[in-house]
Amino acid sequence: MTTPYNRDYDPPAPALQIHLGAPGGPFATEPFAALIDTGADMTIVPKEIVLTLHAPALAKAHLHSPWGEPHPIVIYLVDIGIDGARFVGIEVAADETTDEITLGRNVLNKLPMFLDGPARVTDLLNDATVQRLRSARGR
Amino acid sequence: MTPIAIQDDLLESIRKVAEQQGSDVEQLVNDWLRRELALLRERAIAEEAERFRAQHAALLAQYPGEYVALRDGVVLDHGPEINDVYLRIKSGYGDEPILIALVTPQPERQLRVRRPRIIRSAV
Repeated sequence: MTTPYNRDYDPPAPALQIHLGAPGGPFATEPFAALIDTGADMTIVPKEIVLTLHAPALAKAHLHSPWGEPHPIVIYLVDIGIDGARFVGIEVAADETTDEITLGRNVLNKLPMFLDGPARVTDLLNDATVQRLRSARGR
Repeated sequence: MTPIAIQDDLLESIRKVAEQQGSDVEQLVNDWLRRELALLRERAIAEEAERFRAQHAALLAQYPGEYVALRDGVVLDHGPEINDVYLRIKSGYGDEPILIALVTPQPERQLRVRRPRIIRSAV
């Protein structure tokens, strides 16, 4: 899957299209644009979206940004669909202070991807490419 | 689908809101209910989180780095994978609001986002 960078950002930012749903439930019909952020510990979803999913709230936590005061968030459990794959039982931070979805490392670390900065696209790699790259690394 | 009677005066107001939002009454009411149920569950989780905090030292000693499921201050389940704990709890207790939290050194989990965003200004 190839996804263009989000040009609402300057410079453009890597992004992916994702689906969200309650654990074991159907995905919302519309895909959501999600920003790729390796600096985020956890995936963050606007609370207004989370509340529509019928997903379970599980715990409370605090979200820290570089200079802002930590603010309280609620952790929900959701399933995330990316390029036909379903990642089940993923924790997301439901944040009422944001209107964008941020894919954090709890999801990114499950994905083999290629950030093609000059072409401004994100590629999710297929199994053959992943195997080839891993073999080459082993040489 | 289960039919539910809505009082006439409410129905008229709901119709207007649905019209404004380009939705229909059934969808709008279901969306509201879904949202209110989620917020109700959040309140129950917040209450349980207080009991989690109160017991944090004991939980940390017994379950460091694990997820614990807590109801009325009682540990119902625990394990290293949240989805496994969730599925067991769901199977045993249905949709009951039960806290499932990672036991970290701090009583409340601390998450970090390191992405500052530059807002360019004309000045």
